[in-house]
Amino acid sequence: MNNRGRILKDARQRSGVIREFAMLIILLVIVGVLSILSPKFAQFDNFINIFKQTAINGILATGMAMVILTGGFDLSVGSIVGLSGVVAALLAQGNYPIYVPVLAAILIGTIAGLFNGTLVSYFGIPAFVVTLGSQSIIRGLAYVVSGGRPVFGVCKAYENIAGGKLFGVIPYLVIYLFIIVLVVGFVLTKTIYGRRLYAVGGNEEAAKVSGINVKAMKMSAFMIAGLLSGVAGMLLTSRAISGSPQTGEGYELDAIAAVVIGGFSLSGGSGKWYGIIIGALILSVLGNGLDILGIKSFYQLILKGTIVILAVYLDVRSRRKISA
Amino acid sequence: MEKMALEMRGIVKRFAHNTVLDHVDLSIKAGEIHALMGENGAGKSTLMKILMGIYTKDCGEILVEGKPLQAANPKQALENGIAMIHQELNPVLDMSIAENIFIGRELHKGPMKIVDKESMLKEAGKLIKDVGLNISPKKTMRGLSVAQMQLVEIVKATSQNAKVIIMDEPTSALTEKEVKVLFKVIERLKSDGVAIIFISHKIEEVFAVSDRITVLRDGKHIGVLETKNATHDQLISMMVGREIKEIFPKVEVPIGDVALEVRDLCYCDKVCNVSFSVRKGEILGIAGLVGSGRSETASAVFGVLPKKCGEIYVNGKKVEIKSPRDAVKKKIAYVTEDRKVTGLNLIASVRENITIVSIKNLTKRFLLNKENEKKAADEYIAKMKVKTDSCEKQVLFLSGGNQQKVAISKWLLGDPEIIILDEPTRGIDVGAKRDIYLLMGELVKQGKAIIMISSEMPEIMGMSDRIVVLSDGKVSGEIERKDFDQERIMHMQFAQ
Repeated sequence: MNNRGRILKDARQRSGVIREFAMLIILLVIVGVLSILSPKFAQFDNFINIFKQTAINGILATGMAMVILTGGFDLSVGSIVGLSGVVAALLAQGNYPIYVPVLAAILIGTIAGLFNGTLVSYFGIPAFVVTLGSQSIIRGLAYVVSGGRPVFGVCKAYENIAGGKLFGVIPYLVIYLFIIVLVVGFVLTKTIYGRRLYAVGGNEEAAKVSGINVKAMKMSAFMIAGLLSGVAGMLLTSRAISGSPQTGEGYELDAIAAVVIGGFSLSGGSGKWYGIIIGALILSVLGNGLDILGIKSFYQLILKGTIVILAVYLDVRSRRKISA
Repeated sequence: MEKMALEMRGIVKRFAHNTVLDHVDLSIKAGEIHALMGENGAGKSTLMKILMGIYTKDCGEILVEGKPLQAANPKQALENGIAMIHQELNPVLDMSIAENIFIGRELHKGPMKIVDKESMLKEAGKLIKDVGLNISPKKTMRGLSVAQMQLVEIVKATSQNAKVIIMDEPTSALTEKEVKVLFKVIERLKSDGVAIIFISHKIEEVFAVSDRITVLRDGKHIGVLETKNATHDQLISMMVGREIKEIFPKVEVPIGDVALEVRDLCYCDKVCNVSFSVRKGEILGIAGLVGSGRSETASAVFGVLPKKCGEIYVNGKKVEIKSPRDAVKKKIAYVTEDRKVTGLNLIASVRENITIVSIKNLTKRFLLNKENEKKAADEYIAKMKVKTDSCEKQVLFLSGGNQQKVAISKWLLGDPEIIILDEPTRGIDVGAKRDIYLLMGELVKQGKAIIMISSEMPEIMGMSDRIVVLSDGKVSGEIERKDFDQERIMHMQFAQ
């Protein structure tokens, strides 16, 4: 067993290292190929643009990663984006101070996460069912609140939250993304809370016996996902200068895709924080590059789906190798 | 010359540069019960996986009834008369006994090949009656006990004309009574000319049931013993490669005040009014058959299961334990029965597993500190003699014994006063067992109180100062070390 274990471990370590770097390498290869194919791609402005396009999905993916770490997932984040965005737009007409719509969006997201987390943790309903249901409920609420119509008339100060640029160069959106990813990275690697998230996802039963409040951990992960979805909804409204109840449809899949491509295992307990940003970047670089090359967005959908399946297959295969 | 059911000659298996089987021989006569013994990592399972076609051999030959066999997968092995009853059974729980027996080769009738339920039920009924199962073949597997499922698996194998049946730790989840039934079935198979390869860690059982014993060590063939001429010591020394004079290194230490007292504990109908206490420096054994409520008692004390009623006193003071967190705060530790299911995070590293319970004590200004964690993990790796090349290795890749040592370390790091060990040596090799016994001695010397749950009679009698016997969720007896008597304990276990 010792011998066999060592070989397996070598193989695994090698495949682990490869897997961790694989996504970064793939990202660089895609960037390289696109740079050769189109001179318009490798421009400073375009890179800034790509980061900007990554921001919303990156923020959603960060929240999603917390839930996936504990072994769950959240299909309602796109709807939370819609509801919090609409509410923020309604409150950002200039009648209230600027922090009111911002806090309202964040609060709505957090409450939605609390709802999901409570049902999953304390009522024992599978995450798939809970978040599929709340996806519909929250989307419905977005339509009710807005009367089914987009909300215009957002004030200038609010518009500036996501629309502005630092030194006139780096969009605030990109800065928010990096702050959020770095904070979550810090939480995951440096705090007891982060360690316990991994422990819960790795083996829930063992975590419970070890004195970890598993239910509270899982619930908190959903709350963070909800909170960050609220932030994303608020930022989207600011960028679009309006809130539409339809905003965010299908975003949950992009978020899950980024997390999975970034090396997180859907069974929970493994994944590195920087994988989230790499996963999100791969998706937006592809989107951006194919746009520049003039390839229709229809094909991008097909490609995106294929990549997700491939990424999960890689994870499944590396697991199967170990257990063999 | 006697007819050989199975011969494996000069089997070599390498993984990359490591030779895990080095010219291993195994020959089984028809109608023989042949035990395959060796510590974890000796190569038993690799050898069996080669036989079943799960691994391919690098060298050597396999003959079944004199004909060469090269199975590429378990299905082909089965077609050639070799079947394996796995340690963990995987029946289709919501299908009937009959459907499980005929799974993949359903009896059918007519040109549309419609499943012939009638014949299947009739046939299955006959088969299971033969092994003494007097239940309807219509029953779903879900309703059966592990022992009954095992018998169904055996029936499935024999009904496919298996000539060699491999049984991997078949008794690990059975009660004493069920083991007897199983042995009867094995004897019957033997008289029908079926050869059995019996893999077990329980030496008593091997001596009780086998005709011959093949011993492997470190991937090498050490020897074959005729069971009736062999002794325990001889077998053990062949397995470990050294003499073990004292299997249970019991140390005598002064026994102090009561550390933990449990009064009238109830949980569902599995534990009824169970009371016991354990003192500082004492090892309290809890004996009982599977299903007697041993593990449920421990889980209810520790707050894993919600107790219905009962009081718990730590150092004479009444405490409320509603969750494992409360128990940890009261300096109680609980090494669970199944390290893979409730003990360890297999995909995490040795370091992360050892530190998870006491992570708070290893932080620096509220932040995780890898240096502190490494120091703590390495200390326990050395203390517990965990074989691993670094504390960053995933627990998944350690052998059973080393995993168990990690599962114990994670609790000891928190310096508990009361330690509950549920089957601390299940499925681990002799060397690791001894390390754990020695550790228990160390712990009681430091004045800790230990509760050990075990279903192995020699172990519990060898290590305990006092034994509480559970039967059917109730305390059926209590014995002091000086009065230990296997027969008496056995009787208490079966008490109603």
